[in-house]
Amino acid sequence: MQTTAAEDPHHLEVVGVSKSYGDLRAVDDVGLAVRRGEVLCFLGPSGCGKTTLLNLIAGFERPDRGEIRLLGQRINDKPPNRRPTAMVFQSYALFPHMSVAENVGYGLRVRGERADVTAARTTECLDLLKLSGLEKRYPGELSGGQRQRVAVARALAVRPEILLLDEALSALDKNLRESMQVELSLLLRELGITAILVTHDQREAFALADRVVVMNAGRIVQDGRPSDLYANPKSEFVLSFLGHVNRLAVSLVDRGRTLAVEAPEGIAFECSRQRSWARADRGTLCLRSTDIMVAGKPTEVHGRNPGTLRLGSFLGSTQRYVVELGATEFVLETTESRSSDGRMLQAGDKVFLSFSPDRCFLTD
Amino acid sequence: MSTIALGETDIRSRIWAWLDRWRPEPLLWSAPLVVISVPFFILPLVAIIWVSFFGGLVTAPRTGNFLASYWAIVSEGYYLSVYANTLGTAVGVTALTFVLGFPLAYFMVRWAGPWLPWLIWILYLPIIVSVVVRVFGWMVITADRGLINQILVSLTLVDRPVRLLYEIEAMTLAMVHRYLPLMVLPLVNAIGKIDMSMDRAASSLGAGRMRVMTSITLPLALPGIFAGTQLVFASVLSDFVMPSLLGTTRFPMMAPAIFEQSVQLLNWMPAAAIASVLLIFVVAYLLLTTLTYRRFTRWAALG
Repeated sequence: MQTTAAEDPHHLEVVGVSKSYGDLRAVDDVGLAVRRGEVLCFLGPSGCGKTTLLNLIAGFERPDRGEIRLLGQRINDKPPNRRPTAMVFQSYALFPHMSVAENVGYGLRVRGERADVTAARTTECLDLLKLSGLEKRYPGELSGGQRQRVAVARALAVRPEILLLDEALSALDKNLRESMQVELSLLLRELGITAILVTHDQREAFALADRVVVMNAGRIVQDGRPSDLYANPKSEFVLSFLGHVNRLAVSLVDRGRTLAVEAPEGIAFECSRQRSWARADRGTLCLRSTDIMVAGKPTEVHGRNPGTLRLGSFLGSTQRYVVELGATEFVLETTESRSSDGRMLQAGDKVFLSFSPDRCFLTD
Repeated sequence: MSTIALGETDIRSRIWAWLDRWRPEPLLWSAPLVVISVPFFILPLVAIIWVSFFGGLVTAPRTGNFLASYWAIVSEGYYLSVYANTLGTAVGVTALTFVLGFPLAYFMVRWAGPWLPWLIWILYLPIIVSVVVRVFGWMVITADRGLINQILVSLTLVDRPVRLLYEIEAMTLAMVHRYLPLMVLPLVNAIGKIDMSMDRAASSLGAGRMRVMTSITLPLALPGIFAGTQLVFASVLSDFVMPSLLGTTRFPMMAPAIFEQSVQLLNWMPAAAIASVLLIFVVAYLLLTTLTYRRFTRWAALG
């Protein structure tokens, strides 16, 4: 290869990689290119092959077919210790018999780094993750959040080309996880490091990554920026994986550039053909719970019949309503709404649904 | 009548209050062991120590100073060689079982997978088979015309049979075989507790296989290493069967020496004194290793 790392925009390339365990195709012909400094996230349900793909990149597994290239060089046969990657594990995998400082300096010591360099880099990484003062503690004496920080500091200390994080925040409780998401996101951008994360949590993927790669059954089903994925999911799988979806059987009539959508529940509107994956004249209307609103009076085109409010739950910044419309229960998450006479909505109230036609999706 | 009834309930409630305060259940659970071990273990032990100082009980009253028997067994060169032989054998056999047992335990945990229970069962076999049967087995294997020598001679590695039986060689071999399970089982337990992601984390940070072994696996297996070496060391120190049936009188060991003094020569005081010294060796070794263990594995006590 004549191109240098600086010229080559592709830091890491995965080309046609497959990995099977017996009959199970864990990773099935996956291709991917990661730019330098990009924060990428593999998102998918458990068993979709995202962790296997990460393990293939780290070198814990070897691909059956295909090639993994780092800086243009094939690294298929390199063992993990000879790859410039460092992994943060879900269980953190801190060495219990070493102090925090020894854990963080471990990678440098085994690489034969000079003692003063190791000490300086250890201090630097501990500062970076706000762990100063805990150097002499053992992992068994730390809280979950502190352990997580040590795991990240330990991986960063070896200055990896690519930082790999395998469900690294899943073991933390919700509040801590969200504040770590913010902190990690800032840290990764500040360092400008290439990072690949694995998670099954859509919110976490969106919060951390520049680019999200959605996986299912060993294959990449779609990748793109979080906002693009959310606005234009290319399949029903991606749509339903990115947030709760309400479904309603509808009939479809082709009107040239638009589709007329009708349901006996008093829903009738036209929308762009691009919003439809449906092939027949019967289909399913899919609406995200955050894309529907409730109103106290009829809405013009798509909510003529009233539904019954079954439940209204206060969620803090938003309100969750469960509305029964015909035989279908809609779950929606929206700002607080009031009835036509201005009082708070109560269970049993008649309400009308409202949504924007360009926020709907139509499937078979 | 009513007053008596009141008195009964009064006594009963007092008993309950007493039981409630002292909570004797834990002691009750250990009662069967106490009933057996006090008359059949603790009392004989006390008797042996008593005899080592004062004689009596089963033999003629002592002659001379109450430390006379101890003076005899620490001043005579013969006894000093007995201690040296015994300690040396214990160190050697412990080291050999570790060298053989650690790779075996590692293999069993990391590679045997579903075969692990079978391998543990095979490992137990030497314990299941009677020690006498095993000794005869080793006699057949180590004799001048036994299996080992026949192989050596037929491969022309040696001109004439090497003498193994009734020598240190056969004794050591049989001891390693006998005590290997005591080393391997604690090691299997300890290595089995090491999360595989530890190895992965270390190798991801740049450690090669050997480095992972020395810096992660071995230190984390320390609890098992200590337990295994303690069991093997203490067992070899007090082994009577292997030295008497497979060893040689030119390499005397402590347990046969006690047998010789007591049963054959009826010198009960020196026999009891050697037994007490043996007890001191075992207790001292266990104390030493336990303290060392605490020192090196402070982390193991943390969450």
